[in-house]
Amino acid sequence: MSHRFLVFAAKRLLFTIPQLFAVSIIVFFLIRLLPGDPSYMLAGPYASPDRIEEVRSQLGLDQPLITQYVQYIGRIFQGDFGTSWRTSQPVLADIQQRLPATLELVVLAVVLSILIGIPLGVAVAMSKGGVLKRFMFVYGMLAGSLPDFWIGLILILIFFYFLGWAPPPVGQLDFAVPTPDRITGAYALDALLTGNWEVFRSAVAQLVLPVATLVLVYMPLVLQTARSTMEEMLESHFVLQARASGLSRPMQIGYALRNALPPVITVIGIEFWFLLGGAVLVETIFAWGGLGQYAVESVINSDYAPLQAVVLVTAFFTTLVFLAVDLLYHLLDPRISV
Amino acid sequence: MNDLMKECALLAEGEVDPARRKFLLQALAAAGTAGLAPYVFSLNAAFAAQDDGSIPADKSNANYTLTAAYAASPPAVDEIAFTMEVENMLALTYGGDLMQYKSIPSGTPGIYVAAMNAPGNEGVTGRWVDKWEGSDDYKTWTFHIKPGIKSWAGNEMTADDIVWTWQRGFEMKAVRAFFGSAMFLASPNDIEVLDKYTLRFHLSKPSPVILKLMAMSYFGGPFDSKLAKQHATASDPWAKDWLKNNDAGFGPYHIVKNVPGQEMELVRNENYLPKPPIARILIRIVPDPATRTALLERGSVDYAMRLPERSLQALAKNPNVTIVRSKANFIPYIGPVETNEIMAKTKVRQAMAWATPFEEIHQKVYFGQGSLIKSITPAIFPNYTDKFWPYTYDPAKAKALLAEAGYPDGFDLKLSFDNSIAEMAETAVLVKAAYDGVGIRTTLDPLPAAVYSERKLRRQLMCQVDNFQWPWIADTGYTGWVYLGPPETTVNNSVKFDNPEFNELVTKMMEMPLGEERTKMDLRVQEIAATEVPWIFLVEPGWREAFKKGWTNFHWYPDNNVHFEWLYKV
Repeated sequence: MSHRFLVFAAKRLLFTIPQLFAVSIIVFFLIRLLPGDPSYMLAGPYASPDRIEEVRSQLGLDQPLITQYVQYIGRIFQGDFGTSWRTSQPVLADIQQRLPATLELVVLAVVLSILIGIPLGVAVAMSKGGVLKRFMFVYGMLAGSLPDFWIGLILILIFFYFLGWAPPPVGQLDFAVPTPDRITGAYALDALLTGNWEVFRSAVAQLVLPVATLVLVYMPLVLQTARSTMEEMLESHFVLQARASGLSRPMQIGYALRNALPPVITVIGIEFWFLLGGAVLVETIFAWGGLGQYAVESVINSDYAPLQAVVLVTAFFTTLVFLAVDLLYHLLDPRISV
Repeated sequence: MNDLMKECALLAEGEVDPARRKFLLQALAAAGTAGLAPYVFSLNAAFAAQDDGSIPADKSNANYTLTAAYAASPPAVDEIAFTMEVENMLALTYGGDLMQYKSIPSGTPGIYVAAMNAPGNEGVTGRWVDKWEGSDDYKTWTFHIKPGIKSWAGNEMTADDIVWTWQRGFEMKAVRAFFGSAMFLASPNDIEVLDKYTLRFHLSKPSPVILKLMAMSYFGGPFDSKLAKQHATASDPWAKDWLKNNDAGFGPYHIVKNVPGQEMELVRNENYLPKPPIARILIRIVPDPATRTALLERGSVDYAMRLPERSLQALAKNPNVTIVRSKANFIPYIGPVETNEIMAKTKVRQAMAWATPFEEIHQKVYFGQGSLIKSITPAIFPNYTDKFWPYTYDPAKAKALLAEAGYPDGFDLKLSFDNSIAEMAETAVLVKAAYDGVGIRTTLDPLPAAVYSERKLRRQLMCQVDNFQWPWIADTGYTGWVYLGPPETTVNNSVKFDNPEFNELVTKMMEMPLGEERTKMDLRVQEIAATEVPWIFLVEPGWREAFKKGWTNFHWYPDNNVHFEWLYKV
């Protein structure tokens, strides 16, 4: 690994610190602008005004905003993201439980989107018209216009309800299947690592429909980007030069693909970022209990502490993803710098 | 006939075999003879007393596992937060307070209901106590705990547990403390321990409904104080932290797993009697009602919680699903909030009532299930009457009243509701269309749950559509007092209704023994609620639950939860 690459990576990494700090300020104050005081819901319908004030005080909502923010940052450095009133658990524990569930879903969906989308995109780019191209065009249009939760419900209807092939959409494991010993928190992976095949089978079976939903809806983005950039590259002068020089077809494709990849990597990064928080409706209909679902429930119930933490965690992962994208870019094209 | 009457008398005393009893009851019902009326009455009482939905002996060892799809996790298993799921878990793990409503047949086989129509302290029986006495002035109440009641941890319930529970309740300043004030228990120090199993409550005023207040499972039930104290610390002497996610109750079930937002597992309290046939309850959190419906339709779960009427209508066509229904105590309403000067005018509220499309809401939102509400007191409560409620959909009367109130051209109305409750959103849409038709230019204001709760309790809304009312205490005085009583002290009076006569009546009724005078006051409260229209009553949809076919012995209780401890398979 070159010195230049390491300097680039270090600079890029340093840049994430002010990014996260800025996010924490924006998130904290924006959330406080939201209407809704959780004290009333938390105290319940029979609570006296005294009790409501007591709850506000316990939540720290009676303090000036700046004080609340300073206390909040101080606690974060001690690993304390507060407590969720909806789960009565530390937010960190909730996130540790839910993040692996979402990551398992999203990583699988993104990896499958890459494995299917890029080869298909290249194949479509290389095909001169024909059925495949037309089919992919129609599919891309449909996937772009149909919401993911609708596709998910249709898959449930066909594969669970009518055919009975899929297990019931009750989350990451079927009823009565014990949770595997925790290593990563992702059930399929933990079951695999511990050789617990019964749990592994159940976890993988539960993953099939939600992952298929996400892949069906979001893979076309990778495919279309790969197709269009590949078409462009195949028509470019350097490929023409390669062809004129008598290089083999696979070598021509290899050159074209390497140059077509940067925009595809950007799209993959965006897709990963989007799905981290954007798979919420798919999580909801498959009862996945993931991070997106947690965030939305927090918004509805004015549960500030988890909402702030989820946005920060998502921002952290987004920063990591874009850091990885930048580094990959740099590897593919060393002319790029911060 | 004389022989028949003699046989009736024997029947009433329970000295005839069950098959013969059933035959005779049917024959008597068919006869309907005036001369037999007293016997029929006592027979019904005897039949009800015996047919209370007890668990057959052969079912107690069934060890069923029940799978359930819930809409959400409870935020806690303590009275620190309140949602339907919290109430449900408290009822399952703590089992309720000292008393309980008696169970009587609903009229539908396999469904039993709480005896809500008995006045005052009648209609209730002991849950953890086998004997209780009230003094003549209704101010001193003595309770005798049944020996041998044990929590899941194996500790026996004693008078000390009850005292600790009330001390903690007062410290929490939440629901138990509120109901302590409703029964005029000023302080936990007013509970006297007479011996290990006997305690006496000294109330500051007479309470005609104390036994019904003690029949609630709303705030859980007695704590196993020995177990709870093991988890108390110097900074947390009431074990609030531990009890958020753990239970220390004497109820039928015990939580062994709780992954918020994902799953829960409950197992039977093996010390609980009668032994529940369901030994294990596996709960998955399935937020989407369409998915919960599909799970039940496909037979993947035994029970799907809180499905909207639309889904229940679809499920009713499935021969493998049972829809359980009974009359209940819900009071959905439109509430003009009287902090707004337009809403404060009685004629405006009356006009809104005449402009409300009651029947359309009943048919389109509730698919004709349940019944229209016509009194502040639910129809299953004693002294209920619909004679004071004149309102039907009559736009002409509404317009005339608006003109009389000084709004011949109508006014602008903001109609708020919790947008997570589909039936309230659907109702609001129908109400808007009807109100627009009489000149009340309505803007819909859907709000997230927490925002709605806050603004409602702060009385900041102009008008609300709400369904978060189901009074536990079968008494008009209590219902009026708890929801529409003096606004400066009644936190639930979110519409800020403030009628001096109403306030005086409901306050007085809370401390007035039963009798003719109290019944007159009861009717007057219903009349004021109808003429002053603080709430425009909508539809009582009834208790509605969806189960996989085969389960039976459902018990409706005024908490409107499913009490799994009674269920068994046919």
